[in-house]
Amino acid sequence: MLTLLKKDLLIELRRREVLPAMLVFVVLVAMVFSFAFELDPATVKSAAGGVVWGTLVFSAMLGFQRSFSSEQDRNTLDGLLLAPVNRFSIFISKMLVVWIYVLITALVVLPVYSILSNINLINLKILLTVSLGSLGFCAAGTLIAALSSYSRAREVLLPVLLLPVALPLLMAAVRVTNGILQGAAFSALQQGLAIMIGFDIILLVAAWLMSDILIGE
Amino acid sequence: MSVKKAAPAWLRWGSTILAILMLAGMVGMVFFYAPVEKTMGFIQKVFYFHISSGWVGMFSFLVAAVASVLWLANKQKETFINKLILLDIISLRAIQVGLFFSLIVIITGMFWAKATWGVYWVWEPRLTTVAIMFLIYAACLLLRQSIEEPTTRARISAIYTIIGFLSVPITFLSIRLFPTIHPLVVGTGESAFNMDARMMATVIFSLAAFTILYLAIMFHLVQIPVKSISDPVSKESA
Repeated sequence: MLTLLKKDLLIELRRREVLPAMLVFVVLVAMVFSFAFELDPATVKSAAGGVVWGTLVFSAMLGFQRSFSSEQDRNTLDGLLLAPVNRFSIFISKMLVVWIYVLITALVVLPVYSILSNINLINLKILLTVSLGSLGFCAAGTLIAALSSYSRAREVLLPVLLLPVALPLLMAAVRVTNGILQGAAFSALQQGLAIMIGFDIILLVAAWLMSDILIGE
Repeated sequence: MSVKKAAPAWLRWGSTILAILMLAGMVGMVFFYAPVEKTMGFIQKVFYFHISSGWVGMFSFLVAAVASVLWLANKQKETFINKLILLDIISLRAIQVGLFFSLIVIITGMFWAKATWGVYWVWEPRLTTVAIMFLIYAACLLLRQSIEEPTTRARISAIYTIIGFLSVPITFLSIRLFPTIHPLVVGTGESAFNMDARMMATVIFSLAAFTILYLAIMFHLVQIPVKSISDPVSKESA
C-alpha cells in the first residue's frame, strides 16, 4: 500500500498535473467567494466556514477526477490489478493521495483566506476539523470517482454523483467550523463531530466491502 | 427487441383493480370520514397523500437496494443470467417510481408547509434529507444513462444504489434524531402528532392503498426483454 502511495505521489512529482492546478484553483475560488459575497466584517465570520469548505470541495474534485482516469488513460489499471495487492489497498492509496493534496491545499487556502477576510482561521481545532472532514470527503470522492470512471461522461457526472452523497458531511463540517470560529463550547460541536466521524467510518467500510466488485473486472 | 411483462396478467390487472378501488375508498375516507383538523383546517387533508407517497417512495428505494444487493451477490452465477437482467430492471424501475413518489411528497409537503409554516421551504433536517435523497437517486439515473455496456451498467449502478440507500434511513430517522418542526406521525415524542382514531384509521388505509398502487405500477413496469436469435444481447433493457 505504501508502495502504491509512493508510486502515485512520484508520478505527481514528475508530471505536476494535479496539485499545482488545485493550488491555483483554490486561491481563485477564495477570491471568487470574496467578490461574490462582498463580505463586510460583520458577516465574514458566519460565512467563513462555508467559504473554506466550498473552496476545498471544488479543489478536491479536481483531484478525484484524475485519480482513476489517469490510470485509465494510460491503461495502467490492468497492470495494477495483476500485481499481488488487494483492491482495497488500491482504493486506500488513491484516497490518501487526494487527501494529502487536499491537506496541502488547505494549508494554502486557510492563510490566504485569513488575509483576504481579516480573520484568523489558523488554529489547531480548525486544522483537525479540516482533516477529519476531508478524509470522509476523499473516501466518498474516491469511491464515486471509481464508479464514474466507467461512464462516458465521467467529468460531468462526478460532481453530480458525489455532492448529494457528501452533503451531510459538508453540512456538519461547515457547522463545526463556524462553531469553532464563534468560540462555541465543545459540547455544542459534538453532534457535528459525531456526524463527521460516523460518515468517515461508514464510507470506509462501504469502500472496504465493495472494493472487490468496484475496481477492475 | 421485444419485451415481455415479468408479472403474469392476473397479478397485473388484479392489483390494478384493487388499487383503483382502494384509492377511491381512500379519497372517500379522507374527505368524508376523517374529521377536519382543528388548527390547520382543510389543508391538513393533503397529509394523507403526503405520508403515503413518502412511505411508498422510501419503500421503493428499499426495493431497488435489495435488488441491487441480490444482483451483486449472484453476478458470478452464469445460470442466473435471466434473473440478473430482471433484478437490474427491478432496480431501475424502483428508482424511477421512487423518484416519482418522492416528488409527490416534496410538492404536497411544500403546499402543506406554505399553509402551516407560511413558507414553501425551510432548511430543516427532514426537508434537507429528502432533497438529498431525491438528488442521489436522480444522479443514479444519470449514471445509468451514461454507461453503455449492460453488465458494467448494472454493476456500477447497483453499487451506487446501495451507497445511495444510506440516505433513506437517514431521511426516515431525521425527524426522530434532530430537533425539527416537521411533525412526527408514527411514534411518540415532543413533536408527535395527536390524532383521533378516525384520522389514524384513514392514515393506515391510505398507506395500504398506496402500497397496492405501488405494487400495481411495478407489476406493469417491470418488463423483461425476450431474446431472439438475431438479437442475443439485450442492450435496450434500460
